[in-house]
Amino acid sequence: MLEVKYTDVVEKINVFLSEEFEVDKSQITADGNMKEILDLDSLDYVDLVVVIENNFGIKLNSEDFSRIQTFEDFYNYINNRISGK
Amino acid sequence: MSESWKGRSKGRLSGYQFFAFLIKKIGVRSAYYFLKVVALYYFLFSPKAFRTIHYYFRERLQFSKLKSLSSIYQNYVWFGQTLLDKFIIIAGIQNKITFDFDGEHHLHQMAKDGNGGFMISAHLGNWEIAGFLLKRVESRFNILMYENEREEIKEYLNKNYQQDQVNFIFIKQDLSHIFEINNAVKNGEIICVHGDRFIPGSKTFKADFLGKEARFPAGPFEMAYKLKVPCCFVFAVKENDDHYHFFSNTPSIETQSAEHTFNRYVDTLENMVRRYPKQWFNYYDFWGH
Repeated sequence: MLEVKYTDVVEKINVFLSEEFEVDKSQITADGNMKEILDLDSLDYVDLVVVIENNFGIKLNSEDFSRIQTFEDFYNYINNRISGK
Repeated sequence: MSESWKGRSKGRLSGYQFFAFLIKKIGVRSAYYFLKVVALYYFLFSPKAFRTIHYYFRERLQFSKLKSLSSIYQNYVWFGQTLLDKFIIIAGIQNKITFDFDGEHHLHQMAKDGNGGFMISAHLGNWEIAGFLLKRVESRFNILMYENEREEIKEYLNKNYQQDQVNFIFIKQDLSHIFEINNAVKNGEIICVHGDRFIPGSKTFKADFLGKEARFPAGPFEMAYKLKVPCCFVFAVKENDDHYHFFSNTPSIETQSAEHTFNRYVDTLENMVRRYPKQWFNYYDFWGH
């Protein structure tokens, strides 16, 4: 399996979050609160689930997702999932 | 602006158990007669429900004063009958209930395609009957319910529905339902949800409905659109004491916008309501008049 660099994962996530939720990439910082900055409502989570599946081919589950607060949490979660950790 | 539904269904478990007891002891036909007395009680002593349903008949449907009053009473009788019928079917009690299915083949096709989908209904007629009869369709159905609906009724329903074909997804604050819905759809399963009620704080769409602006939940339409799965509108209404008519339109995948599906839904619902006005079972201030 090809190893994906953490920085590439971060970059890819930032690009699709910025496009999908129409926020400037500069607003997306590792310690920023993801829900607040992206202004996520419940239906936005549908978008999030779909874009993650489309971009990384992984399914999110609610237990994991409830622990994600910051963008860094999100990067780590996605990175761990695609690395099979 | 319309008032939101408070997130609790009418009826207590004791009431449901009472219906079940009644059917078993005095039989279906006698229970129907007894219901007429119960309906009269609610007609006389349930002023809040009376006000909202009177507004619906008198102002929205423009019924005469006398026709509005008789329709309210009949509406209560129909409502009671739908509850009774639900228990007759679920409990497997012998009955004479028959069904017609307009568009049943659409559901078979949706199941056969295996892409999952949304069936959007309303509190018109007896959707639970429709859900139960979907045993004929080879797919797994997920019925969306609000978390704050009465726990006891959820338990009762859980016990009585066949777990292998019908699953309940509860709409929760932690948004776990979003993930459950997505997974169900990805597994080719069908999501059954009402498109006419919402809880405070949820995103809504507005539309002219029976001549006045009303709000509806955006969620069902947004989810079907975002997940790019087929969506159809289904209704199960009573034609008479023993006969139900099930309607489903042709499922389609929305390509324009969630609002487009929503507008089609409102048109379909309004047509159905005008055909079956006495089976509208939303006893709250739907239009916020």
